[in-house]
Amino acid sequence: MNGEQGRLLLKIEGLGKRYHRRRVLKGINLKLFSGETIIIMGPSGCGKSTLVRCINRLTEPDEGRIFFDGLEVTGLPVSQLAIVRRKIGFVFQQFNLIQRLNVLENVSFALRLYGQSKNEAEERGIKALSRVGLKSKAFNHPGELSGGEQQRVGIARALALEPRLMLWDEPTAALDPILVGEVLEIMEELVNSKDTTMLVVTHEVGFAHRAANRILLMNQGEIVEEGKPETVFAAPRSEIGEKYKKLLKN
Amino acid sequence: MLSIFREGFIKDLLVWFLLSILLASLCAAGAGMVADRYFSRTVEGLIGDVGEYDLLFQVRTDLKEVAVSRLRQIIQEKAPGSTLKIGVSVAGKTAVFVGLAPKYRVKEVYTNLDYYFRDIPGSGNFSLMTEPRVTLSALPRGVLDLFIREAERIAGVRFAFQDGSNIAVLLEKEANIKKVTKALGGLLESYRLLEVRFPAGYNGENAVEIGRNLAHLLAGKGGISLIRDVTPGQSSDDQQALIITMAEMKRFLLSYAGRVKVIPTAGALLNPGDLLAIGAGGERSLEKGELVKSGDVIIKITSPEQDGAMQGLIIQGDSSALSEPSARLLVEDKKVGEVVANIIIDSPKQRLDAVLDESINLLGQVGSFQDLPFQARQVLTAAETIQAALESINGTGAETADLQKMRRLSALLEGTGAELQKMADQLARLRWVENQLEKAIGGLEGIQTITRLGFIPQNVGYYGDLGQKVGRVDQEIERLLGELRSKAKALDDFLNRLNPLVRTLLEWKAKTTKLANQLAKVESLIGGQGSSFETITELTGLTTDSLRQFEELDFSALRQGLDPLEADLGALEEANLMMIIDELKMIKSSLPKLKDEEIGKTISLLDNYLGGEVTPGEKVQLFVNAGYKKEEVTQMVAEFFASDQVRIQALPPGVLQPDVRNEVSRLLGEVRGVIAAIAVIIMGILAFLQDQAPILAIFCHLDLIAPYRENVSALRKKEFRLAAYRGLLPWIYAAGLGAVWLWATIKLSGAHIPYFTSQYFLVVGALIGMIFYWKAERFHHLNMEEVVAGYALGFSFTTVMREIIIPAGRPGIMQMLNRRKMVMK
Repeated sequence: MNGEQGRLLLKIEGLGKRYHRRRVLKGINLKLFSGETIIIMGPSGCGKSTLVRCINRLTEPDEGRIFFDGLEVTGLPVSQLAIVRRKIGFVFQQFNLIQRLNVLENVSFALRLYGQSKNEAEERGIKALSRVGLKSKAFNHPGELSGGEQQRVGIARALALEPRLMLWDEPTAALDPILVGEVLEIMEELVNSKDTTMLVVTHEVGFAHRAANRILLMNQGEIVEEGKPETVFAAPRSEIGEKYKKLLKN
Repeated sequence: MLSIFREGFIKDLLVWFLLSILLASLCAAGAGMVADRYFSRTVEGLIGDVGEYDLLFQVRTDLKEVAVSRLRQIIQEKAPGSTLKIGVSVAGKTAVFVGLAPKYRVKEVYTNLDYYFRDIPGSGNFSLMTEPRVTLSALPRGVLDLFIREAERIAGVRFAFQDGSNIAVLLEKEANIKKVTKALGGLLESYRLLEVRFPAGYNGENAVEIGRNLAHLLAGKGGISLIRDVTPGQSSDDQQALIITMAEMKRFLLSYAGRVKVIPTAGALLNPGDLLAIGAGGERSLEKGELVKSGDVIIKITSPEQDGAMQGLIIQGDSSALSEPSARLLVEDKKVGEVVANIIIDSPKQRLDAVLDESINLLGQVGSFQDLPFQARQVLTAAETIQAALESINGTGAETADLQKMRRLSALLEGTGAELQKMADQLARLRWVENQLEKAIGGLEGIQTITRLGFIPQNVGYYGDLGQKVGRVDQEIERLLGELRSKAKALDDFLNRLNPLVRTLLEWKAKTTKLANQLAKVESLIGGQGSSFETITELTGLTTDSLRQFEELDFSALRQGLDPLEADLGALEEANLMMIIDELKMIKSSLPKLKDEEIGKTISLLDNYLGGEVTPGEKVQLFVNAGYKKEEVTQMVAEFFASDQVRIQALPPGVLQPDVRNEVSRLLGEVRGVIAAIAVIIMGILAFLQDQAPILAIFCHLDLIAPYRENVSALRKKEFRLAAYRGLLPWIYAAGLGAVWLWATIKLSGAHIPYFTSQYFLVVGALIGMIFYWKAERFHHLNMEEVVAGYALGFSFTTVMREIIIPAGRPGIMQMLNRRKMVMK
């Protein structure tokens, strides 16, 4: 899917962030269109996660502007920001499940808080869990699940809200390699379903090659290369691109 | 951050705040009440209910039965209907309570309680317990009457009475305590106790007298409308009496001991405390370098005198043993050094002893003076015989002395020679008697002077009846002295008139005898010519004068003069000389048989003891009305002592004490307050730990809960400026919450800590709050993954708090309140 074919959903202009004196993001510009899947790759510490967290302001950017669905997110008061956040699903590297709630409650939690009845919320929760293949674990607590399962619950929690945009912050990074596959499988299904727009931070080169509409390569807080996967991995223009090309060949 | 307080959670916080304060106050007050109840019951068990008992006896446990039996007997006799309760026994003492029957709770009974309960076996005294009561203590004895009178004028006071050295003020009812206490406080404020300390070097031996004089001086001046001399030493408190006695004894011993005046030799520099040595006995003289022996005299220099000399005290040996006037310095190791001083000893002890001996001896001889008149009359008879004889010669014409006349005179004197000699002898005896009388008078006057110096105290309490005997003897001596003086004078007159004549006649006798011999020779040789005529002429002149004097002698007047002498001697016998002698002997035997060394050591011991005590003589105390003119009074006192170094201290005249129960109640109130305060502080800490720690922990992540960036928009400038300081807001929240919470809870619970005002609790509360914020994430480990997830899902702060943070916290009021509002319970 060509990103420019859908409606502009997310626009980032000159985004910058520094931790103390270190600039972790330097003038990032990005456009994401509806239904598009962009995969951000780059070495550790290059600012990928910070970029994703800045989008829903879990991390507050220092400069630049972010527009979501035409609304400037930066500078929104917290009450309005919360409304925007509800439209943006977020899958965390560490799953970030609420330990006191069971799987179904974790998934239907937000729905209930946003006004749905318990039954409605649970119904949608079950549906989301079915989508990630965890319906049978609906009443288990997170502590009783494997890492992959927990991440799938995290995905179901995000999906249950039917977000316009899903942000993935290295969803497989904390997983045992054996369990990575089940998560990637679900992610690929989601991509293929084209139900949602996704911005994914990952090191999974294969997944990126298969699923991405666009690849963004970052290094030292900057986007060093951007393009379609076949272009980026076939004829990279950056050093990082070269490395990923080699990685993909291996 | 302020936006979070606009959310629903602020209501949760407010409800928590009010409820937690209420509950904590109730708990703290409850803890205080429990403590109060417990201690009150304990106290009631110990000292009974309010007004139940009036007297507390601490009796020896082993004599408890006897004591209680005696107490019951006294109660039956003196206050029937009164109750008795045996209390607890502690450390060998048993408390026995006596509650007087209501009709005996009157002033008359209270003032006689000491008398009623004077001999309880195994009990020293009793303590007054009657309630309601206020006690005035530490008042000078001399003003107790005034305070009793004044206290009884206060409304709500039943009566007041002296309880030992205190004044017990009994009230009509418990409710009057505050009012009466205030009034008594005002009463104490209206008077002052002026403590006037003597200036350095002032000889204040008689502080009582000085106090009296000073009071007299100040009365009616300098704004003083009331003044009483209340100098200690006038009262008879045991301790005070002991100190006075010791001070008096010291004064006596100092007067009685040998006074040593030390005159330093040229170039010698002596200081108080230096020791001088003098050899003992006439045969011993100390040499330089010699070791001083036990029999030698050692003098300690006590103080300098104005003339460069110094005063000393014999601390070894006796002044009677001194062999020489020069004293050597006693150096280290008891070795004798150079001669550094000459000493002069004045020993009143020896003088008194000698005078007493002499007086006793002389008074013993007064009885032998009874034949004085007889002797005097014999003298007169002899004189009359001689006068008659002389008149017969005188009839021949004295101016025409001739040989014939000389012969006749010679023959006469030969004839009256025996009478004349007898007369001379009698006169000599009378003169001796007169001398003895004079000596007796001198001795008695010496005794009188010494006794009147006052170093034998007159008070019976100090030296048995010696002082009284001295006083009696003094009176007798006074009378005796008067009589002896008149007799001595009469005798003296008599002798003075007769003695010259007798001497002349004796000269006549010698010369006429000589003349008679010569006349015999002249007659035989030249018929009365030659050198014998010169003798005749001389004798004639002499005879002429003597005869004239003898003619002028009024024997009848002399006889009449002897009559009172005779009568007085009779009266002298009635003067009970033996009594005087006995008393003098008694005085002599009663005087301390102390060596100077012993006196010196005793004085040192007395000094050591008195050193730590306020001895009478160092200060006087005057009780005056408040509002006197301090400067004027100070000026007058300074003038009185002729020194500007007088120290005057104005003290409250007494101390106001609540009764034991009130004191215990006050203490219990304080204990209750402190326990409640401790409970409040503990609950405050618990409230922060259980309920506030999660809130304070999330405040450590302001970037997440209230994201702001600093340079987004000029339109939001105001908010961003605030944002620059938003880091302070959690501190302000924590400190403010802690301060208000603790202060409000303390106030509501009635908790208090003595000397710790409510402002301090504000500070403590603020500190607790700030400490909890400072270490918030240690007190509460926040699961940030859950929190971030919550925010990522678009939850508000309130939702995050209610659904994620508070449920994950510790159980407490907040969690309890939160549960009602949780969606995912």
